[in-house]
This record gives sequence, structure tokens and C-alpha cells, in this order.
Amino acid sequence: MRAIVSTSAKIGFGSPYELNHRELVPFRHDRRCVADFEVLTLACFKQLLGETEEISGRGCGLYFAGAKDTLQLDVDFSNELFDADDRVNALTTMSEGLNPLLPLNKLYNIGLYLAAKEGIECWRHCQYTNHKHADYSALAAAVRDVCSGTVEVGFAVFARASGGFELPQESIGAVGVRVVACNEAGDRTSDAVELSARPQPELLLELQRLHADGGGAELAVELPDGTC
Amino acid sequence: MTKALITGVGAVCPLGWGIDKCWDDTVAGRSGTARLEIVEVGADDCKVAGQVPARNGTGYESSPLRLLDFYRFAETEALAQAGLERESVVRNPRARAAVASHGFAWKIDEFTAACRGKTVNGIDLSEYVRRPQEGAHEGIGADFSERYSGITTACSAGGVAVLEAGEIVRSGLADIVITGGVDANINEVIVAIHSRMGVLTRHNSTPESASRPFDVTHAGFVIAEGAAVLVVESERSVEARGAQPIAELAGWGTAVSTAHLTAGSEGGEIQALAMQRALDSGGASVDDIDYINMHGTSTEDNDISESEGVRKVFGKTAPPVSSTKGVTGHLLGGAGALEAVFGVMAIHTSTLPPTANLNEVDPRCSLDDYIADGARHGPCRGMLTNSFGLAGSNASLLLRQP
Repeated sequence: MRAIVSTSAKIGFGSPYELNHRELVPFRHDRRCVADFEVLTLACFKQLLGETEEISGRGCGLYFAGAKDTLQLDVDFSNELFDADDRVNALTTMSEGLNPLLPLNKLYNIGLYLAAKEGIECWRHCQYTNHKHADYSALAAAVRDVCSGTVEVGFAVFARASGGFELPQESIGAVGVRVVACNEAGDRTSDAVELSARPQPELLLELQRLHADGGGAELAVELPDGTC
Repeated sequence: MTKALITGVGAVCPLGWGIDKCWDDTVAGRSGTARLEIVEVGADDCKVAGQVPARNGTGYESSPLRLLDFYRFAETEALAQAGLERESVVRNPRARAAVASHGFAWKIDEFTAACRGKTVNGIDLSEYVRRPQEGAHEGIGADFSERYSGITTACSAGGVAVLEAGEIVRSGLADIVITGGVDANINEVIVAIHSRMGVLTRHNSTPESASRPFDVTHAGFVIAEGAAVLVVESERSVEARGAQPIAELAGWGTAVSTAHLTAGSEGGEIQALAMQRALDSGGASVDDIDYINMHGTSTEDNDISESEGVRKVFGKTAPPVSSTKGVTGHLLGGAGALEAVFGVMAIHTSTLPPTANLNEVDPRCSLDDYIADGARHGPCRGMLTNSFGLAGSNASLLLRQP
């Protein structure tokens, strides 16, 4: 028997061009290819925090996806957001040691750090970069750890500042997942998003559609026996 | 809730290829760090690294694809010990993979052209042309498709990958998870920028003893490369196959520090929280722990704060601790996995590895026993292994006898 775990989701999406970059990340204009991830992540958290009433208790799980595109200075040169000179300048700058953060070229945990600064206690965290399935991994991990009781609320954060993967720029956002009910197999809502084996772009676009339809969404997640 | 059992391990590190070689040298305190040879770096940059020796034992190879060589070797070794065939695991819908990596050299023509004529430290930036993570994870996890998790939480990533495997098995999402970490990030720019941050060792004249965790002369870590893989299975899978578990992945904890983006938490409070959560999640107490494999990078900041964290959890009864980075250097994304493998070996062989190159403990490192006097022999019922990363990512794993 397989259980269907219904979850409620708070979904927030944002475009980098709609955000106040300067306020959130002062050095944005000098090092935008690195800063974008910070901007987007923080904006998503702020948006989610505004929509999510309870995030304390056992704490949150934070699961990031897609950071490689925005954090690596050397990918996706077809992307019009960042021209090659930007990347070269950033690389040169970081090698000159002007910013102790940039040199690492792997600011993988910046979102985590920012969330903690916002007062979110991170009981569990991870960051996924496995190409087209990273978003699936992040969302599935959020659901998994919420269902197992490891965390009370799981945030899956998707960053796609550099585009790619056939996603539009607006496909940047975060999803907060919370278990509300566990039902028998087959008892799922019409708007269910089945996570299993769903390609990443479709998943995100589906979440966006649900968000546009009404703000919240019902997700149905198939998990094996004994998980809830 | 099912147990997460470890049935196979494999490793490649600066000590050599294969877990037997890596473990024997670690127990003996034989160093794998050496003068940096696979790349040329700037005059002021660190000249020491933990480079994986060539398979034939002569010198080093700097193939951009060596990351995948490392990973495949360790994976093959781990699966063989577990009694599993890779093809059957890949085909098994109840099998997954969760691996940490930050990448390797990967040429992109466009970037090469853009960088031409621009230099850092006299190094042509066109030589630093990489799309490391994408390439690495495509290479490692392609066969598993959406059943693969590629993890990048900086230097904690190896530990986070292993705990991800634990979460997957314990939650019932899979029966078999191949997990571990691999990195091959020794290149001109990585060495240059880490040198300028001041986190790499300054003991260039003594490369074999340049990594000195907890020693009064600790002066930065030795950047290293390699891979470590563990096979984690559910009880049901182990019983059905008649497999022999060698350790239990019994618990894990994570915690996030906001004290500083690149430094540990003051007083080790957050590291302590990760360790305590690992104990709690495994239903263990401090009395159940016979050994801690420390993150122990050989940087002052880490060695001191991590020691304070252990002290906060264990009080005056802290068990013996050591850092195997004294002989391996710091494998970055592979470190946590390699040290988990060493934890498994400590339990399996009843041997606690020593901290190499530790002659005089930094008085600011507050623990009583860093295993400075050679390996210890005796039962290891349970152990913790710590992995800490940039921007406050802290992970601790609890391993114990199966």
C-alpha cells in the first residue's frame, strides 16, 4: 500500500528585476552574478515568511536547488543576464581577494546563512545541484522530512537566475511545504502535483500555475508505507 | 522505522587507491600530503596539496576527468564489498544515489575566448575554464536520473550527503542508497584564492607534515582531492540479500551558524548543536560514544571552536578525538564522506586512528585526548564524525556497531 500525503504549500515566485537589489545586497551592481542568488533567496524567504504563520517549533528544513547556475561564475555564457566580461571581472576581483566571500567560488550556503539571519532555525538543510532534477530533489526532500517529522516546515528554494533548462526567468521562487493530512492511495486532489519522476521544468511551471490560480496549492506526494 | 545500515565502503585519497591502503596509512600516521606538483601556482601561494597518486604509483596525473575516475573506483569498491552489482542497483527503482561534489575541470570554448589575455598571478584565466558542478553531477548521477541527489554544501557536503542517504533509507523512500563525496579541485585559481584568504597551510617547507590539526603550529589546511563512497541499506534489504552490515548509520544532525560567513561559531555552540542532534536522533547518549573523528582542518578557527563544541556536549568526559586530515589533507566535498568511511573502519577494525603531526597541542584546544601518540586498539561501539562548511553549514553523523 502506498500512502498519499497531502501537503499545503505556500509558493512564492519572484523575478530578479522586480526586486530591490541595492537594498538587499549592496554590492549587487559590482558582482551581480554572485549576488543574484542572495537577492533571490532572501526575497523568497521574505515572501514566504509573510505568508507562513508558523515556522518555529521543531524548526525548518531548508532545501536549495539550482544554485550552481547563479553561483558559479563560469557557466551558461549564452545567458544574456551575464556577459562574459562580468564573469571575467568577477573572477579577477575574487582572485584579488577584495571580498573574502567571493574567492571561494562556491557560495553554496549563502541562502542558508541568510535564512538563519532571518530567524529561521534550520533543523535540516541541504543543497542540490544535480542538473535537471535538482528542484525535484529539493521539494521531495522537504516533503520527506516534513512527513517523517524531522522538521515542521520544509522550504524548497529554487533559484534560476541564469535561466537555462527551458525555464523562464520568472521561474525563481520558493515553496513552503507542510503536511496537513495523510490519506489512502488514490485520494488526491484534482490539482495534485505528483512529484515522482516529474521533470524539473514541468514541476516548477506547474507550481507556478497553481500559485497563479490562487496562491496556495495542494500537493500530493507518493511515499512508501510507514512514512507518515 | 528501519535502521540505515552500511554494507560497503570504498575510498581514493592522497594516501592511495582503495580503502585498505587509505586506512592502513591513516592508522600508521603516514602522510599523503606533498609538494604541489599537478599545477603551478603563484610565488606567494601555498605549495602543498594532497594529490592522489597515479594508479601505477609513479607521480601524479592531472587529467580533468580524474574526478570521475576517483568516484567510479570508490563506488566499485564499495559495491563489491556490499555484494552488489552496479547495473542491478541502477535498475532497482528502490535504489538511489546521493553524492557530494563541487566539480572538476571542464572546458568551455566561449569562456576561453572571453578570458584570453587576462591573467591572475600570471595565470591565463582561460586555463581556468570550468563548469564543474554540472559536469561532475552529470557524470556521477546520470544513470539514476531523478533518483540522484547532487549535493553542494561546501566543506560539509560529504557529511550532508551521507545523512541524506540516512534520511532516504529511514523514511522508507529507498532500500539502497549509494552515497559519498568526491572532489578534484586542485587548480591554480582555487589554490590562489584560498591562499589569499589565508586558510591554506603556510608550512611549505615541510609538505608531509603541513597539515597539523590541533597542534600549536597549525597554520591552515592542505587542499586535497579524492573520493569516498558508502552503501547504505535498509534492514529489509540487508536481510533479504543476506548481506553483512559493517556499521549502522544511526543518527545525524545539522545546525546553522550565523556568527560569520566563513568562520565557525564562537565557542563552538552551533557545532555542539549539530553533535547533540546527531546523538538525539540516534537515541544515543554521550556514554555511547567511544571516538570522534573531528572536522579538524588544521586552521586555528576550526580546531579551537570545534574542540569547544565537543566540550559543550561531552563535558569532562569527552572521548578520544582525532583528525585524519593530518594525513589526507582536506578533500573539501569529499572530506565528510571519507571521514565517515574512516568512522566505519574504526568501528569495524576496533581501531582509533591518530592525529598525525600533532606534537604539542594548542593550549586553546580544550580537549584532553587528541590521540597524538599513535592509533589505539579497542572496541569502538559508537562514534561521531563532524563536517563543517562555509556559511555555517554544520553536520554531524552518528555511526555505531550494527
